[in-house]
Amino acid sequence: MTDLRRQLAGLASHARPYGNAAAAIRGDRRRRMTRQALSAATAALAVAGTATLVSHLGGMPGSLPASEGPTTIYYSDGAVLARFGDSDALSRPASLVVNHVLSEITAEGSPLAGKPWSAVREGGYEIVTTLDSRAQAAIEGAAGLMAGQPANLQAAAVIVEPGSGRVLAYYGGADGTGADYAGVYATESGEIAGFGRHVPGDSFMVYTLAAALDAGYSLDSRWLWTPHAQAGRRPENPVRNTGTCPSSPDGHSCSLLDSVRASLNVPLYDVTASVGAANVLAAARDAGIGFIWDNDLHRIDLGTVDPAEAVGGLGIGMEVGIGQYAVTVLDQAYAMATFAAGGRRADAHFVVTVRRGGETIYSEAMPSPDHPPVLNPEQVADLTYALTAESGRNDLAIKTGDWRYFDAVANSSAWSIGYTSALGVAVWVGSAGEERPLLDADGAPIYGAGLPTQILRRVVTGAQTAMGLQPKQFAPPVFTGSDNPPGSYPG
Amino acid sequence: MERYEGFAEFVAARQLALSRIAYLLTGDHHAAQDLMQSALVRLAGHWRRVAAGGDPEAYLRRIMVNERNTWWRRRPPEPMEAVPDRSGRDEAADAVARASLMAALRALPPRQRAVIVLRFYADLSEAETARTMGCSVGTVKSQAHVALARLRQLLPPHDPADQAGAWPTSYLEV
Repeated sequence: MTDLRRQLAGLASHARPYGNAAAAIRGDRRRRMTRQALSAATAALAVAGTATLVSHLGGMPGSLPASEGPTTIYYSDGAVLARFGDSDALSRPASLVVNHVLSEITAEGSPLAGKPWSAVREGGYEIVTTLDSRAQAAIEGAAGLMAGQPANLQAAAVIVEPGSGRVLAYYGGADGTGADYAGVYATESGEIAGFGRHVPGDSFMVYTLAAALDAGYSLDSRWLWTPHAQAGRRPENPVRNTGTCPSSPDGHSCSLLDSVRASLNVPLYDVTASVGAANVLAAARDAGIGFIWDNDLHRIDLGTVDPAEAVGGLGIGMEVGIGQYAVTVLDQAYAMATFAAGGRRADAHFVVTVRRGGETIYSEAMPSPDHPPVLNPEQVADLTYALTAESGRNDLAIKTGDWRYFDAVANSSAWSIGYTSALGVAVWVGSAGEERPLLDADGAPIYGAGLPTQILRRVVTGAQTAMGLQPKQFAPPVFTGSDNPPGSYPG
Repeated sequence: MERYEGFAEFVAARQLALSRIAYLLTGDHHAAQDLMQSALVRLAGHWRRVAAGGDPEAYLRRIMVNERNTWWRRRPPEPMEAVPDRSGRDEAADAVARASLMAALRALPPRQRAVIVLRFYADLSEAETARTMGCSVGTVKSQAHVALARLRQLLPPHDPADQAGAWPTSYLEV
């Protein structure tokens, strides 16, 4: 060792070991004045050592932060859904809810508002979701009906619990880290992501009917169902039906009940014009539809935009009543749960609790904040009655939806939405990528009444059986309202 | 890995050696403690990543050397405290020598001081020194050369009889 090294070593040996800082710093008033920001931490550090350093950093004075590490996500019935870092679990279909979970617990107003998602993923939290493992198994099993279908076909399905708004099961695709075809969510930066918006077609008529019932129109009111000149439509582009009225003795008019059951666009367009497109949109919003997309796929947030402004001002036209504007599968399931609960909306949500270190940091808002009912109980009974013809049962309401692929016979979007007293469900089948005519493995067009309804029935039966739920019979119809509202036939 | 797993153990094991580097860099006990503390806080903030990378000590050295706010400002030399009697050696002479060396170190510009401490106290290679300081190996060589020349100017040889070999007469000897 050269002399310099030896001398430096000798000099260095007089350094004070780090842990003995307290006395030295207390003795230097000048230092305290210039380094006040550090002094409290310094004194604590010197006395207690690194444990306090760590807790000081974690903002939890006097104790080590409890269980940092990967966060674990649970089903509400206790099973583990996924642990962050476990790429196998995160790739399973149920893990598509992760984005919704993170979005929900870091939203404004939450105790974890604004927290970076990475901090949640690595913060050692225990997140209990609203998902029920039995319902989830049922929904994934039903999605298995897609096996053997052409590769471009994609299904999505969601179950929401009436009365609580809990999302019981979620299927947005087979890959938990892939595209989410069931919903949209706010990312960390506030952008809306997800591929869950699809044109609902005549499945949207549920809200048109709800708006009509709310306006005092009766199921027995009659409407012109054969093509005719209609407000806002050019003669060369009339609204067309894809079916016929099941009971039209005079050949021209069809009851509101039958028009909905047969999914007739022409009379439902007139009903929308009569009730007001803004009121139809408001009924959808009040049931639970949060976002709607216009013809240019611009998103409209019904939580902040007034329906009257959306109609006309923002490009939502009369066609809203026949389902031209896209909505998400999640929102439709949410709305079905509202009707299943007798018209009372409970905020749809994905998280029950968030805990860490034995402490509950976040809890679902239960009971859900009050919202004005969409319809009164008699009107709900009438609406439900209109939807039981499709199912053939008095404990299951179904509305199918089709949206034609341009002029093709086939559809680009096919839906089946509905409810029992126990579950609100929405199922969609469409194209995974670019929109194409939906053809099944046999080359036949896919209609809402076909594959989507098969999936819906399997979802409902599977989930109810697995969870031991017994749906109640629906209340019989009351036939509320007027048989001769404005715009109805004969006028 | 738990968020601060191994952190306390690392600090317990290495704080003495790192305190000494901090002391040589800053030339002052209080400043050395401040430097260690702020460097440890930063290390803790990145602990998992740094520990996974394998060399938290190098990371801590890098933080301390580059922490301008704490010691790059020139300070007037401070009087050294009395050192407790430890052995039969000539304590007074040692104290004087130490005072001189510390004063000489403090008189060096920060980067020259850093090179001296890293190469001749911490015994880092040229490459390791360059990585710690965030400069090139060539800069390390030239800064060391200049620093040694300056120190030789500031300090008399320790023992007149030990002149040859007491100080490296050229950088190449170290």
